[in-house]
Amino acid sequence: MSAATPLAARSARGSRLTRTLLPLALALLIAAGLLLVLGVNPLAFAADTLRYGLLDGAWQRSAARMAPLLLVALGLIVVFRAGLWNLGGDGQFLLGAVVVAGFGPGLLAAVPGPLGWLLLAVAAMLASAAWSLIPALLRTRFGITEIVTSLVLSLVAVGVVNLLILGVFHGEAAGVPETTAIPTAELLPYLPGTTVHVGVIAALVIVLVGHVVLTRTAVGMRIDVLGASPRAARFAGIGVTALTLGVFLVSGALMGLGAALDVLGSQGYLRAHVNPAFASAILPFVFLARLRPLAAIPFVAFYAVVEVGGTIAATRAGLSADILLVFVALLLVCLTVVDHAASRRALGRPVVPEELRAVWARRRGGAR
Amino acid sequence: MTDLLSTSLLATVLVAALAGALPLLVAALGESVGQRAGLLGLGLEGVILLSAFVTFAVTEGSGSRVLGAVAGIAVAVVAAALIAALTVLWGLDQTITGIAVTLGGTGLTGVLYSRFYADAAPRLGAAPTLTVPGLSEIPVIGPALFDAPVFSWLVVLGTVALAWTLARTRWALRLGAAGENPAALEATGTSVLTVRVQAMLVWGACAGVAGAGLVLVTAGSFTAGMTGGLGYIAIVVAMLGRARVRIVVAVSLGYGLIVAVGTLLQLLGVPLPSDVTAILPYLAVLIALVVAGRRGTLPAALGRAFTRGARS
Repeated sequence: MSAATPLAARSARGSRLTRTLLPLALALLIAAGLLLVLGVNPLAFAADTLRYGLLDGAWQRSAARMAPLLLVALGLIVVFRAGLWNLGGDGQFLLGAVVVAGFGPGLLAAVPGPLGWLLLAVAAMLASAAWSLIPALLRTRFGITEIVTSLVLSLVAVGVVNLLILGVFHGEAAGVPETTAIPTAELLPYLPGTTVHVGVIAALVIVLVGHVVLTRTAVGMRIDVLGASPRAARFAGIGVTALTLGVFLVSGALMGLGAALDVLGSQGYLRAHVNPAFASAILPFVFLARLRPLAAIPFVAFYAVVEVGGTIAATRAGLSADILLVFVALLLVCLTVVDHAASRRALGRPVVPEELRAVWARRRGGAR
Repeated sequence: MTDLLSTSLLATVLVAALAGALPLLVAALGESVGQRAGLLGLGLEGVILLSAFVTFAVTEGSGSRVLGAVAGIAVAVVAAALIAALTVLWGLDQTITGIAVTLGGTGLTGVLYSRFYADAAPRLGAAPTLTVPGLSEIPVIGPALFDAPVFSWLVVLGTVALAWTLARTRWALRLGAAGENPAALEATGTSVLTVRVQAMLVWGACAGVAGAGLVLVTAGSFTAGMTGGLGYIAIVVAMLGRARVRIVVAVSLGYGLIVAVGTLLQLLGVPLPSDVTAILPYLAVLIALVVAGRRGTLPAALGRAFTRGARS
């Protein structure tokens, strides 16, 4: 028995690794095939992606891109762990971004430095959180599925953001529908010796805190119980309504914070009709990380390189950057298929975890 | 003179409203069938785009609109069959699969269009119409209703056929059971999986028709991301209608009217950003959903996979 447990654990770890790497490999393989069909050399594409996303100092741009991606990933993880769907991350992110980009130039001129950044970040978080509250309220008050409402509200937010940039937030540059750029000197400072802004460190710390809260505290436990079974949560005396609203608020706020770090750290302005769609893109990686914030960090780093390098690689290959969306979609499908195949194979085996079975065996032995 | 202008203007708005409403109507009807059977159909946007692109590419290449439409619909049905295999037969998560299909459809059509057509941006020209002699001379409604594209006539026929099917057939009852209480349906000896696969194929065919109509009738061309959330609106409209065809028709026509009036105001020089007309329909259907949709009105098993022999 004592020898069997480590073996089982090792095989479980092995299968977890397979479940993570196999979908990635499959998606990359299919994407390579698609590139071939389009007349693009996949190896050259991969080399370009690495060159412009990782090598020769390009890693710094990818690292900076991790700041928004990490927080968006955490924002998704919080709701997904509760068994809820916030699919409106893209719109919530843009709302936060437009608040920072719209008020940033004026506010930072009056209140420069950390206090100004803090005020803008809080404003962005409030705007995004308020927007994410709507699908949560529609769910808790009217029982309308948040899957659809969050998606549709995201599209509304995108339109509202465009209108804001075309209207009140329109910068001085005539014709170009974009906000006034925040002067580089007023943006977040770089880490010494790099061109990576400090927001990345902030994002990493927040992900760490999020990990501890979700996996080590009573609140995290309640969220997991709600995700496992809303009925069980109700019987356990968990305020399901309050918790639902809470996780949506936190999720939206994290989207807003990610947007604030992106605008204050990297972009400095926002252009109308540009939607980075980080929340859609990071979706498969959140699942690959099994909804564990710390495990999401390497996946986010991977996708940051793919996004930063892949966008340039696509342009150089004469392709639309939409090719990244195709990769993300392939990854989602491969991930669910591999996962399903793995759990199907496990169907013949007992469902009860190893440790629990050991306990039961002992109990049964005692009764006899 | 001004009278004449305004009558022809009204007629133009009506034509535009119908052209805008019909793709949504078809997509929402297919989605209604899917939702009735317990399928959320979140990939609708992606499948409509796939069909639209294939319709455009084949029509542009062959010069035949019929061939283009058939190819577009065929691709949509194949896509639906794949989704059905994954979500219905294998029981994969409908939400994740749906998002993947929409992202994939958006990405793939964007890549292909920019690769092969973006420079030339070819247009397909106006759709051929079926004119009813006499009736098409009626002012205002004549041109819209009786000088309509062949597509519109087919949609009207299809809508009537589907309304009859949903109201009168045993299959419609099975659909409802597959969405409300799949275990009970299975107990009567009818396969839930078969019913759901059938519903998914109808869903796909409708999405295909919607995509083909969008390209051939509404827009006369393809542009990347041209659906602009039409699939999502269709999902909400289907939730509003709950498989009652007349509500789906009414809401779709309302949507078409909003779009047409927006376009008209822009043409008349009213400074109305396209984003306003883009978000108005979303807000309208969402508010309608809140006002009309009360708790517990969606099929009980919506979005849930059915596993044979499993306890729910």
